[in-house]
Amino acid sequence: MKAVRRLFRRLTSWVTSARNEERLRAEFEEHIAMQTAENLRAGLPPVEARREALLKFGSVEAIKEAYRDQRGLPLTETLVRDTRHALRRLRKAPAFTAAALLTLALGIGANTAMFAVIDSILIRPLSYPHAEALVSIRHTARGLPGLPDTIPCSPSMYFTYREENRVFQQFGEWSAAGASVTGIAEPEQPRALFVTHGVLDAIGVTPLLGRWFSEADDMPGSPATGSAASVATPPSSGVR
Amino acid sequence: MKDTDVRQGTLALMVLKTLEVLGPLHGYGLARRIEQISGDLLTVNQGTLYPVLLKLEQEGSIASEWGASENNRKARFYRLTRQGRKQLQAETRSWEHTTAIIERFFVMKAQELK
Repeated sequence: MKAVRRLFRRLTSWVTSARNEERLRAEFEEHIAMQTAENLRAGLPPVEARREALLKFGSVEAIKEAYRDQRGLPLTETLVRDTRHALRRLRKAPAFTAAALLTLALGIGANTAMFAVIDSILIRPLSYPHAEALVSIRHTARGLPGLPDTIPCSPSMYFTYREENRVFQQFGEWSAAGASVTGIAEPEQPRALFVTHGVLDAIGVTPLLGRWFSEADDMPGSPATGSAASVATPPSSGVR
Repeated sequence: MKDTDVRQGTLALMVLKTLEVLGPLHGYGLARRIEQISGDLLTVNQGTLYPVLLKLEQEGSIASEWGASENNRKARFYRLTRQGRKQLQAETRSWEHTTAIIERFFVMKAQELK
């Protein structure tokens, strides 16, 4: 309660500061005059009497400063003053202001973009169930000249992993591909992936229509039924 | 040691008590009384009293208005408000409490605790 009252007084005194300053000056003057009179009565010569009074009072400016610090809201007042000053300076140098604004805008924009990318790729997990258990395998052969950084997965590798691995619950292979949709309306070229049986089971998504490939579809001689006929996810998911 | 360091809170308590005993006083009168009562043990820069007065006034413990001093000069008189009286009572109690505790530590002898 005391603090609230004090804050209120401080706020209002901001408005009445000129009057307060005057009151303070008068009060100090009176105080020193009274002390001087006292010193005169004690027998000091006039000049000495006033000097002693001033000494006894202490540094007027320092006390005024302490008084002002308590009176208003010095932090806010200083902040407002500084802001005003800064704005004035900026208005005086429009070229500098423009350059600074542009730099800031570009900097903030670039950072936002970079963070958005990093956030979606590195920080936020993939939007599949148990995304932390998904593992991607690449084969490299450093030191062998003429080979690309990542060696494509050969059928023998694929079969070995599929038959022999004891680590993964599902195993599948994919590669980027293109596809064309024609015949219904405007032809469209959606982004597509060639996947083997296992990929879609591994990421744990369910088809909108139909069924995923089964192991049987991967067998030689199976009818070319399942392929792409029934698989589609809504365009918004980005995995068309 | 003549230059006793006075904490602002202590000075505030002295101001309140002085006003309670002597009634309304101006800043100079307060400074003089505090000096006299402390037997000049306490020589504060008299001016440091004013920030304390302002704080007390902001808190509502004292009020002030212009008046005429003994020798007919214009002076600002401070007086204790009802709230100030309550505050003084509370702070007196807490002060006595503190000194009582410290006192016990000062009279304490080592063997008493064995």
